[in-house]
Amino acid sequence: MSLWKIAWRSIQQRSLASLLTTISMALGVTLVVAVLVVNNVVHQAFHRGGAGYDLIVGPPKGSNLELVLSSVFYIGQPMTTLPYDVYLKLKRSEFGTPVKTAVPICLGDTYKDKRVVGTTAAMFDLEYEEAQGAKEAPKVFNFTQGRAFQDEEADWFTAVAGATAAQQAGLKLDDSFRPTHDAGTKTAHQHGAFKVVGILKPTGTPNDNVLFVNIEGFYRVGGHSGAIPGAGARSSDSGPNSVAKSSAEKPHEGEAASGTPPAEHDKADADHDHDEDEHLHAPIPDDRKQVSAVLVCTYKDTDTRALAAEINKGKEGQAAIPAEQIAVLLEKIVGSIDLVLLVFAVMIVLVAGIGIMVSIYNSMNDRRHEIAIMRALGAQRITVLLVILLESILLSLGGGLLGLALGHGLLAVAGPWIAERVNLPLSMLNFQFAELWLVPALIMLASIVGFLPALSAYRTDVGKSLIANP
Amino acid sequence: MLLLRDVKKSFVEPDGSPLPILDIEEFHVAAGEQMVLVGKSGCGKTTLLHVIAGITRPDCGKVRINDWDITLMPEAECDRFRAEHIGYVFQTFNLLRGFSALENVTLAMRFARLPNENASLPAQMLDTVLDLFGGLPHGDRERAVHLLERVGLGHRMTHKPTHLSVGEQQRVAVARALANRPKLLLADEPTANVDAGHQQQILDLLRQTCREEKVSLVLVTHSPLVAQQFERVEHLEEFNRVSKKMKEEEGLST
Repeated sequence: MSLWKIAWRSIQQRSLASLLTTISMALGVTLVVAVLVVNNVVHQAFHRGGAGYDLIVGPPKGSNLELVLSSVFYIGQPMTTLPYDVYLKLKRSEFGTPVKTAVPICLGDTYKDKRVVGTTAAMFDLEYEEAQGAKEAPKVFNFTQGRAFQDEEADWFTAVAGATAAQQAGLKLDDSFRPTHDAGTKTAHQHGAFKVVGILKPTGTPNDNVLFVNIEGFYRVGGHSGAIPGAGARSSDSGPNSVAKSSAEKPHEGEAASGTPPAEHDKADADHDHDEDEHLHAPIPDDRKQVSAVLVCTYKDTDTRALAAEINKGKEGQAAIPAEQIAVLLEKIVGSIDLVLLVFAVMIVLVAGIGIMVSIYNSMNDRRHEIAIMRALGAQRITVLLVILLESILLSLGGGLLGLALGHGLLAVAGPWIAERVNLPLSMLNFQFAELWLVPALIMLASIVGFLPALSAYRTDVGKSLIANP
Repeated sequence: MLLLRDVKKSFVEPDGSPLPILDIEEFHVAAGEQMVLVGKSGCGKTTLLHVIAGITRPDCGKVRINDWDITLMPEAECDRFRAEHIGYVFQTFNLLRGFSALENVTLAMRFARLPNENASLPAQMLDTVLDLFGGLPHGDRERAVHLLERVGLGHRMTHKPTHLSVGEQQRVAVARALANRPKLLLADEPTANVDAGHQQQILDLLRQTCREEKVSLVLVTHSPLVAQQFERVEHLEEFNRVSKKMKEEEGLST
């Protein structure tokens, strides 16, 4: 009979107390698992948000972090805009460093609280960094339905919806939507419509929550300063045929925003349709276009740094390396929250460990007689000490394994619910390397908390305890 | 086989003063001999058995079992010696409640780790591997089963002590005491808690098994019925100076 079995029998004899201490340990470990997994998923989600490109070039105002927040996480408004010329220079590698891809983004519009991002078809060709041994780098964006829009004129008023955005805004393939300008302000006004030609698969990034529209269409709907001659636009009922209007017609926009039924406008404006159509397809000079930021891919890391240094030297814009800014963000904000949560979870495990110690120690008075019998049968002091330590280890490990199962079970149950609400891809299979440390950590904890009762067993006076009634 | 010489043992009273229990000039038991120790309650019979078993250390003197003086052994060695060479049957049986009858017997073997010198080489290698996981050496389970069958409990081996009658419990205790093929069996009032019908059964079992296994038996009892069945009956008051003195004092006071 192994010492493990002797310890196990002792646990069985006090099944209720053992069960309770195991459950308390399991709850502690469940929390540790939850914190570790969520922490890792949050970090992944943050990093994945900025994956697919190496550099963000934005307007010179504001900090690098603000630039990353607005262009990667779509938090806050871009401070100002960046001349279109900077995008073109980047695209043509005119900053002295070869550029692989440059993707412009224009921000500021919304549809049902979902950010509308004006961009080019190049956005959907972005790739994650090639994994080792992989033949092809995986694409950042994949489609559940439909396709990416093209840069051609025929696709100017088309859109691609992020997975969550499509679901929450109720957009399906071939639906049209009209973005509202001045996101989050009370003076919002509506634009012309974009037709959804593609719906993206979930990426687990803030991109899931946005609606991508063709940048050319974006420019041709109003409110984007200097984007078209006499910026300002208003919607018609002609689906994607959004109309660019002159600034002289701005009062109409105010009406649209203040709730005037679109049908009345349509009637009144029917005779403008021909002019609007012309505006719609009128070329916009590059010097009138502006972008919120440009996402840049380079060929190698040194190029990224050289390009960032070159851009930051000039006054046209500023360049931020998203990976670095995200690391700062995680360390400064998310990191400390993680630490606090982890400290709490570890403290719960420690308290559960102390619970095991108290449970075994309290049982020692009842067990002294049995320990004395074992000693009388020839068990050495070290043997009974080991049996108590093993009992503590079994309780801790049992609780730990139960906690691991509970933690991942919890993820299985709550994962989809959390994923839906906060856009975090949680799965019960999100095992963390750090979880492996739980096993030796629990054994060590069990050895420490088991030592006091084990010492008590070690010191049992056999003669006296044998005479005492069981 | 067993020889005690100039053994003294005192306990400490709650007020700190010494309480002498044993003062024995000489006590011996021959190999294979069966004897009975009698004496009044509190005269030190159990303490004497504890001293012989190495459970309690004497304050001075020698306790020799065959060629070994257990008073000179370090505690761990003494524990091992006890497990290998001494069987102990307690008055209250002292079976471990969480373990079956069979496990109570094999547990004693686990603590002694009996080497099986007669086993074949592959069996010895298997024993070594099993030892890592605390398994029983080859053949030990068979011996435990044999002993339980020998005491008439072949059909009750998987029962826990709480599911056994008092007589059955004491029979398990006898099987356990003999598990490690001891040279000396100490039995502390083994029939005191057993009904009259089972008393003789237990006694016969002990004596016969000891005879078969060539084990020396020292049996403590209060029962004249038990004592009269043994050729050698020793009164502790006769050779323990402490008990003798107490007896004399009591005689004077009356």
